Amino acid sequence: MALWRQPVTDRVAGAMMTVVDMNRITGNVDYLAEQFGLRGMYIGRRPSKTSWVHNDYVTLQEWQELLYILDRLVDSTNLQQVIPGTEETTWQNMNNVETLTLRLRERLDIIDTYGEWPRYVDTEVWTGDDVYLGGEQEIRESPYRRIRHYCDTEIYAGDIANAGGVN
Amino acid sequence: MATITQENARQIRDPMQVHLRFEAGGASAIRTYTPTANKSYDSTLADTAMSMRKIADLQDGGFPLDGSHEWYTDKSPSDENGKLGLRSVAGFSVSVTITASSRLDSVTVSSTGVDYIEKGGTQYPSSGLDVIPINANTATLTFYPNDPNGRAFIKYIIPGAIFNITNENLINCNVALRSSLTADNPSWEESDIEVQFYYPYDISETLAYIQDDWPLTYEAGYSDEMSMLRKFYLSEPGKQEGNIVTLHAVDASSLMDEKLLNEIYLSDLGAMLFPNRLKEAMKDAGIVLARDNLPRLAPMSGSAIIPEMSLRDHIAIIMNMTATLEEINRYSFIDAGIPTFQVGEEFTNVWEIEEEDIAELVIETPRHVNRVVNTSEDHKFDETVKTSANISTETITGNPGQLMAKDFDTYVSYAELQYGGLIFGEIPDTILATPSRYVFKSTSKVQRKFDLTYQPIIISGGAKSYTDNSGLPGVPIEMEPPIYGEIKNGNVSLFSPKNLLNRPNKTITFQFKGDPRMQPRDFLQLNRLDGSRFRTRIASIETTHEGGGTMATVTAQITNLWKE
Repeated sequence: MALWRQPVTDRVAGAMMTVVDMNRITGNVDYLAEQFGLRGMYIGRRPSKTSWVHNDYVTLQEWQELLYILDRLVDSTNLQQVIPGTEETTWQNMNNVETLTLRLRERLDIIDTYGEWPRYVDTEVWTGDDVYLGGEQEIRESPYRRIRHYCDTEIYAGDIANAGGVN
Repeated sequence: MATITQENARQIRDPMQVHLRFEAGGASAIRTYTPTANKSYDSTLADTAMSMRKIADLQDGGFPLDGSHEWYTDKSPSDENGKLGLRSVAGFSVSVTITASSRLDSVTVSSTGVDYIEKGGTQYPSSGLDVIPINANTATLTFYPNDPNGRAFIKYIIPGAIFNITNENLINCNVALRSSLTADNPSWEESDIEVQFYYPYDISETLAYIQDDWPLTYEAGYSDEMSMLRKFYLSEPGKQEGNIVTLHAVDASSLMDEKLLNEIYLSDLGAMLFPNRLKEAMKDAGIVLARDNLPRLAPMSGSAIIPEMSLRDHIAIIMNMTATLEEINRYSFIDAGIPTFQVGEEFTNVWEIEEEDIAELVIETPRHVNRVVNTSEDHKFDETVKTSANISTETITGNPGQLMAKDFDTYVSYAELQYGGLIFGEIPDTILATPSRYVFKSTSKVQRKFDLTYQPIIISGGAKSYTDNSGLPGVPIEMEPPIYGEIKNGNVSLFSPKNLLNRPNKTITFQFKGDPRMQPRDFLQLNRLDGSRFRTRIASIETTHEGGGTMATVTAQITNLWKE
């Protein structure tokens, strides 16, 4: 069973890539692929290598495989995140990759907490709006306020979106 | 693991690796580099020395996880961690426009992952280190990756031409290392190298603009042991016929031809410092010694005058005079790409070769030299140099602001110009060693009479010729006295023509598979099939690398001063 390790998302310029980083990233992707699979999501693939040693080289093919699995996870969970390309091996994008695993892990926790798949609301939600499962909601003019607020987290069936983005 | 010694021990050696590098700098500096369509770039494309930063790049097999590779930082400047160079977006070309303050003949580009370089519609196949003809102040170079998904990576672009020549592009290389010293011909030929190598496109115009004296370095050997790096200097314009480029270069000893060494007067103290004076003269001639070994103060005595001659002739003569003396008294300068000057203990290797491993052994025994004959009408051998006890004084008149001249008709040990008991300021106060004109300028505003005091050196005694005492028949050699007077270390006369007698003059020449570590004047023992042996010193080695094979012709002189 794959183990989860806390992602590192605070790299700065000059950061090096080490075997610890690679074991954590591939291990976390493996964990996510396994856990989402257990919850009925078809990912179709898990990292072919999760145990790296000091002298190993990371190749383009191995990194592409990792990004492919991340892409499947993001797509399947409807997470609105961009997968970095293989061209972009910058320190910022390594932070982005690990942030992505962190978001996926949060999504996993939400599923376990609510027993439901989170869905995105795909338009603005107004105070007092009724939000329906499946992301389709009836949009009405707020009778109470004329100031619009974005909903900044997932909305569940039956939730009431309140002014100020707290729902 | 492969060393020259290990490979030499094998019946059939692997092909020897030959590394040559020719560098000719450009006259104009590149002022700006303007890249386009790049992945990353920093501004130090001119820097060839700074190491490249290790980047966690997925190109070219990826990167290791040992913590040595850092993530990309866009347009990061060079710093102590190295430089970034210019890198294309993977799978795409990248261009850079270079601008110089004046006309660039050519630039040298160091790159990896590049298929070809395009300039003005002409494509130049990339070999990693490429010379691109420019012939303008500015040019745009475009680099195309050699992998559809790969990244073109440009390490540096600098003015001038650099050629790296290895077994990959080497056609043949002839290296002749020489330090021949025979009794009747004390000058030595310069060592030289001629290289032919393949170049994929026309660089004849670039070659035409390269000046002489740019360095060509050479080393050969195997992965775990290369010979010492030898440095030669271009001596004639490079040529290109088709795709074959030819370069010819000589060692630095040729610089000594142009360095005229004034007459040197050696007294006891001067003789002690003589090696250092020669070293200084070499430095003035532009020779950078790779090694030197000079005693601080050699225990010498006597006095002598060495006539004016080129530094090269001078060195050759004193080397020849001392070649068969005990090591402590030997002077030697060997270049062969590794300029080395030593007095006393020598940097020499001792080699041993079996006759069964060589071919075409030729033994030559020139006629025995039993006499050294002086051809000079004016000077005799080993003349005793004496300083006169009588100081000469004469009066010369100095007009205001006028030059006063004095022609000495003999050597003088010093000269002073005095007025009223005071030494006049503009007279050389060092030893004057030559019969020549000395000119003094009076700064007095009135006409004055000056006392000129000088001490002549009287040369007397000596011989017209020397004959050996062996009684063996032989031939004489003729020469002018290379030195007037005598310098001794104890009872040994250092620079005497007598030293040319009673020396072995037998030489051997043979071919063998070659060893790039060998240096002229190294000791070499040839073990004969009949159990006898020749103990020799190497006079010349001519090595040829061609078609992956190496062959050398060695000429060595029998020595009776073997170094165990």
